[in-house]
Amino acid sequence: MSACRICGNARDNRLHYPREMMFGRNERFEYLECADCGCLQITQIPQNLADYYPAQYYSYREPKQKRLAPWLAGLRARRTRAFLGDPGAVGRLLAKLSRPPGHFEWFTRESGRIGLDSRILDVGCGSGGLLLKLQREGFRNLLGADVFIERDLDYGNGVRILKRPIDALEGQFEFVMLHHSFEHMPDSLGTLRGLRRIVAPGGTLLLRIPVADSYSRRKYGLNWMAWDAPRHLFLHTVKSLHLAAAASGFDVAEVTYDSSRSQFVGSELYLRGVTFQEQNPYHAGKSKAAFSREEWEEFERAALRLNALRDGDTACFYLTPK
Amino acid sequence: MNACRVCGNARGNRIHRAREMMYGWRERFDYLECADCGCVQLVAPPEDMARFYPADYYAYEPPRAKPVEGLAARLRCARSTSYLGRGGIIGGLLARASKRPQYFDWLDGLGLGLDSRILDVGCGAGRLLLRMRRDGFARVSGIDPFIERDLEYASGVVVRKGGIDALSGEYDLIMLHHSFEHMTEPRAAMQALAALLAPSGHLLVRLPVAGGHAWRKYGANWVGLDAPRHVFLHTTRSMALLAEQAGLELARTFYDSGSRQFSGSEMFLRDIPLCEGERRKDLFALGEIDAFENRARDLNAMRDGDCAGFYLRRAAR
Repeated sequence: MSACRICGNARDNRLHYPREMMFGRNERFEYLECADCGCLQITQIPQNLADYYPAQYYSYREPKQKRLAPWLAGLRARRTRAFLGDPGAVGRLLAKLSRPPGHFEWFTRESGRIGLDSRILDVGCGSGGLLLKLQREGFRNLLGADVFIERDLDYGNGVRILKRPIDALEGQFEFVMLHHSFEHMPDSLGTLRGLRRIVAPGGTLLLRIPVADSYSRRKYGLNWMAWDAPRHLFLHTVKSLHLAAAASGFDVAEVTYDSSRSQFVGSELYLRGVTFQEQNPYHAGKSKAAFSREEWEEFERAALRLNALRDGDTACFYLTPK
Repeated sequence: MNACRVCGNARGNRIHRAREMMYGWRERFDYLECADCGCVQLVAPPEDMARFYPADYYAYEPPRAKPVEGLAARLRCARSTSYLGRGGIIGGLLARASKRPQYFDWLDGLGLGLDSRILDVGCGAGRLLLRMRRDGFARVSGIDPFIERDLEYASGVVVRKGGIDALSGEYDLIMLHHSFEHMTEPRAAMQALAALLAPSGHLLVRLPVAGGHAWRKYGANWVGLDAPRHVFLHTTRSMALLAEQAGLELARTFYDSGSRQFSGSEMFLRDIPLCEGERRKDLFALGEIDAFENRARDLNAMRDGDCAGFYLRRAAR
């Protein structure tokens, strides 16, 4: 039996054989569950891993591009500064009149440390949809990196995406974020060490990942949607992520949970053998509806309850350099 | 290692040892939990299984069988038609004036009428069928392998002694209320049931399901195992596989677990047989059963209760 690649434990580890369910390729992959830190990990990374990211993979779709009129962009930037803690009156008024978009939650705890000129890096950004949104909010120093895109992208508005691994990135960044990309990377510890090098002193690394020590994992097991074999190479636990962070020179400053109804919807349909790309008609109110409206609402409430109990199946880890 | 008898998986399956605890005979039985489809199954069903269904088994209590005739019968028909979502003013008024029997919930959305052909498989003495007959359903029948002999009630309801193989004909609704888990060959049973289904007919299978909160919490002491009478404790996954093998597909699912998943399992943890524990009043503090009931409702809403109902229909081509 092989050892855990995070904590090294070799005793009592269990093997699991989940199926590829996004496209329904009907293949199985072997995963090890560490009996100590709980981390789920693929035992052998497929040679043809890129085949599991076909062109229709969701994060490569061409992102929406809107040009804002200069005056509007200026007001937006003021509002963003207010969200980030700047006391300017115009911005504060605008901030009061609008609800902060979801992506500001990730910056809330950076209040006072991050400004519109802060260097922000999105690793595993796909075609860069989030960076383009941040650009419209007024951020000026945005870079993306993704090894699976076809070639470098330059949107001409300051947003650039490099087809480069972390080790080939230069410079340092005040805020480095990985939105559901860390679990796709073959070497968790090596990746974190590489990230440690590019997070500026006093900066923050945000890892948003699925977590294996969660209600949905316990309930759905192999059919847990976020397992996503073989693309998710590591499904961390709170414990294994803390161990990995410590081993690569980070402290974990905060963990928050942001799971949603999709953990129920997707997993319930995997139980029935419905692949991810076929799922839409089975949603509540659609032609093949597998759920009632009440269930649909309840799933969202249940996700919020689980998040409050730190038992949702996705989490945000905020790491700071030691 | 044993292979799963539903999906064939032989890797990583685990064995759980459960005891006969309805009567408290405490004989031990091995159950295999499939690491793939999650189905929990009795490894070796006893040769003398009939022994575990003694004459006082709850499903055989002879039901009250008073037929209704004349005007009363006609009024009941009108009321039932209204409960089925159709009918006229009188039926509507009667329906509003009385409490809708729970079983109508199971019939919702299936397009049934009082003349629909309805079969109850594993019906015991046929209590539900007699109620339905009194409410006006004209073509209800049942079958059960463990009753003493064929039963013919004055109202015309016939319950045959036998297995699914003994059945023929075509049905608009075939219901299995906590009987499918007792069958030793679920794959063959599902195929036989599929063959009895009218083209737009439905199969309703209500049963305890493995993998839910109560199974995770209580394991071999989960009351739903009911060793050795429950031979297969299915999951949504294993039901979907059986359906597929029989040319059927899952339509809707509902969860209807109750406080028993807690009260019964807690009895087993304390080594108290179910038939004794259900008579005792001293096992749970005031309010505990209510709390169990509330928790069961929450679990049902999250599809995590220990009992579910699956509607199956012919798979769309």
